[in-house]
Amino acid sequence: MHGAVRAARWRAAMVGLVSAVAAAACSEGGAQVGVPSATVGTEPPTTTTTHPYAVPPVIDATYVNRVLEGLDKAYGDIVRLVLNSRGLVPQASAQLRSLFGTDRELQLELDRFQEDMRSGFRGYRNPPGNQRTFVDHIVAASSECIFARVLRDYSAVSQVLAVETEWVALSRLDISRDPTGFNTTGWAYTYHGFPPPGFPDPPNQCHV
Amino acid sequence: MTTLLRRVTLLLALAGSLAPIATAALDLAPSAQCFRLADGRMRCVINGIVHIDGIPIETLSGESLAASEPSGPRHVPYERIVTQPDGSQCVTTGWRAVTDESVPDALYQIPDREIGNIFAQYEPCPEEPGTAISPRTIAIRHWETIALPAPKPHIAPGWGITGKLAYLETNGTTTHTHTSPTPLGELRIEATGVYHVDWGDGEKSGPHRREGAPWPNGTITHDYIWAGTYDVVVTQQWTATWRIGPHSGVLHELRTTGRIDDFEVRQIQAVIVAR
Repeated sequence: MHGAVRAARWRAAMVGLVSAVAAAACSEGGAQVGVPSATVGTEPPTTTTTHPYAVPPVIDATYVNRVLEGLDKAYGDIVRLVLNSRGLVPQASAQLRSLFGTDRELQLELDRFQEDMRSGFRGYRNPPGNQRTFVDHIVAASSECIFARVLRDYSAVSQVLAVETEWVALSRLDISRDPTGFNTTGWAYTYHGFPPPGFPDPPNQCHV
Repeated sequence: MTTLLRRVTLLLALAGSLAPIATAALDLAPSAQCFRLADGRMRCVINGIVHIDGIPIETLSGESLAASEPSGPRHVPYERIVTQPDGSQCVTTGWRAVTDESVPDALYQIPDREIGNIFAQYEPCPEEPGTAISPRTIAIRHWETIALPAPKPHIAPGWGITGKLAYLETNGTTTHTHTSPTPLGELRIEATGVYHVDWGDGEKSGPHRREGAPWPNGTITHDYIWAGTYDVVVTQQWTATWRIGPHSGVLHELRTTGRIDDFEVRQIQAVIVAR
């Protein structure tokens, strides 16, 4: 029953989300792209390369979703590395450190993988895909910190999990945690997960 | 004194984590954080206590909850990868509650994995600065010098027959206890071994937790399909726990090996003889 409610909520949210993302995309397109017209003049064309994770003046759901997608892909690579090597190899630990911005969050992930290892990686798809995370509500956003409620779809990773409502807090990546440049998003998790049943929603992690 | 404080802290933390959920109006959320494991179990950290599906298992720092719940479940040590202040990872001993009777007295990263020694990939965590040599270090040094029993495999009567089960006798022991005096008190290492058999024909079996015995009671058997000669290799994978006074932990895996080279497997054919 609980799963059904969540599934319904997920579907409803996804419909809204897709619409919102589409609207945002249209809005951005309208603001940035003009109607093609005849080109006149002899100035050489200029090109501007925009880093996909460059922090925009206004952080919106589209941007946060882009960052989360990048983090999901990177995390998926680590999951596959761990499963292929059947262990938490040092390379995976180092890559996790680049995605999780505090040692506490990193330890939670190290413990998660060790728990998985002890269970023989029970529940994983073979091969696992990437988890997919979408913003449900941005609680706080600045160029230094983002805190959002998200919908995280585990169906490509897990045989039993589907969509969970979770919260993520992101802070700018301390590059000393990522000497190999594994995390290209420029952001790292400083909080991820959800409160235990019956507990209140986590407080705004950008103000903690 | 420090230990007492830790225990009091653990008791308070455990009490807090087990308080009725309805009292959660207190702003406990920053220290209450959950996520799902791939198999659906929910892992939560509530006030520093790790819960799996609502059951307190261990502390986030890896300390045992045994002190706070002496009549509770068994607590066993395990190898735990942790992050050091400089960001590197190392292996220390964690403790967790287990209710499953079949769980051995030490948990390993990947139970029964043929090559599962995480010490090959991560260094043991260093001693705390300013402390003398630790009980753990003493235990590790002894462990690496102990002469562990090695299997002496035999398959009676010295050759096999295709289509008939070959009964492997391991002629070893699956437990080994080592004690020795140390400057910090008596060291006691209790080791448990499981057998893995490479039958030489491409087939492997194990882990076998019991000694291999001859026909008819033996449980380590193999059915050779083709006649030939095979090298049978029996590897015993040892895991262990150590204890010196109040200190204890888990030790990395060691292996001993025995083999039967050129084990002959014959084929017997029935023939009709005219009289």
